[in-house]
Amino acid sequence: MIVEVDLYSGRPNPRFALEPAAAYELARRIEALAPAGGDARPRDGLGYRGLRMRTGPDDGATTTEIVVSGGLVTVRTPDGPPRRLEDHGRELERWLLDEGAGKLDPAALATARQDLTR
Amino acid sequence: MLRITADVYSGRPDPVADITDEAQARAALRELTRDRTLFTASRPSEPLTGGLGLRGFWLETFDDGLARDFDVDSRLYVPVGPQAPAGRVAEVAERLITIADWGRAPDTFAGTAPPVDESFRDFLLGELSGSSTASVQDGTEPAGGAEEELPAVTCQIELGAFNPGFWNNDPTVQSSNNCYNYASNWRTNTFAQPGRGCGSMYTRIDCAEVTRAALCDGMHHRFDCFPDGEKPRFLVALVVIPGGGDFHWYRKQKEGFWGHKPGGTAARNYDNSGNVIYDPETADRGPYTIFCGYFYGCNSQRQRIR
Repeated sequence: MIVEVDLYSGRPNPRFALEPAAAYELARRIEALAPAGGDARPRDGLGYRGLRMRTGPDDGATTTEIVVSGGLVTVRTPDGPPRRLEDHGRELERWLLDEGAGKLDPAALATARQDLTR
Repeated sequence: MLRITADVYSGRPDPVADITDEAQARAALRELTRDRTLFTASRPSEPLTGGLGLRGFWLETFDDGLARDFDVDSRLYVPVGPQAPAGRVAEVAERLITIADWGRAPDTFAGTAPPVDESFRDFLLGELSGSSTASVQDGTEPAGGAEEELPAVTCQIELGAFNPGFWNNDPTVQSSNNCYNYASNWRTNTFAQPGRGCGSMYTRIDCAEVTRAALCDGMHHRFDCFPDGEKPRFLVALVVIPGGGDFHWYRKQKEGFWGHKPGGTAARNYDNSGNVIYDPETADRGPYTIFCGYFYGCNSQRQRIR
């Protein structure tokens, strides 16, 4: 699974590969999340916006898109409405960024981690 | 092949041109048919057509395969101007005008069409701009001091109407086009990079290097005027993140504010604080804190970007 760090405007976003064991752990962590409150919103605008992943073949019909951003996890599947889950303390986002350590450009990783302190 | 007839004259036959490049013809039809409210099977009744000037285009296909592929009749009408449906029609019409070969009479046209040359394209783009863009003067303030006062520099530029739907309604368009596409007002679906189109992409990210790459694509520094033949000449602004992380572009809009598109996210006219952008130098730009300067895009530049 590829994790895209939604960070840039002009350049393509940095990406890193999530090993199968980590992808399994990601799925386990997502299933453990509680539904999010109605006012939770993902990061937007210029700068770090969150992390994006896709599972399944990239044909649009069977792809599941996962967005982890600002304490909110959104899971979109082809069938049914998006699931909105609470990433309490942004723990899942922090864990995913830790998985990118050593694979991402250090400056990009530092920018993303800095956002976690906000 | 696609044949285009400009519905522009009243007392004489309308000019006709062909889009002979099959790939371009297909791309144009694909873009047009994405929103089927943009065209009709017949010309609207006269009172709705807006009177003098460019009223629309007839498009004709010549093989049933092309018509079938896009589910269109052999002849369709694309209205432009005030009577056109709101939305992307100006963008689509601009592309059709640009890719049609107005300088050469269609070989297979049996009717009467007045001879036109390449300048007719500029005329049509000017007519079209009446609905989607405004041509304005962009001038410097005269330097202070009566005796040492330098003459002010004034350039004619265009400001396009804010049309975020063009960039946001299709998920592929939104994710595959970035701030440089938006500033250039040209959808490439390649996440365009300054300098890549001219074969000399930036090698690091700072004001000097991204500026060099954008000038290589054909941009000019502000107040280095483009001729009318390079319409639309948009006013854009470049900013970067300190330390070389990334660059970002803004484009001034007809409504007076500035539009931009942060990467693969939605095009918008507000900053990171949610305020409408009237001055990109003072807007909340997040980490893009270095303001590099203002530039003009132009028609050849935007068609060069990759």
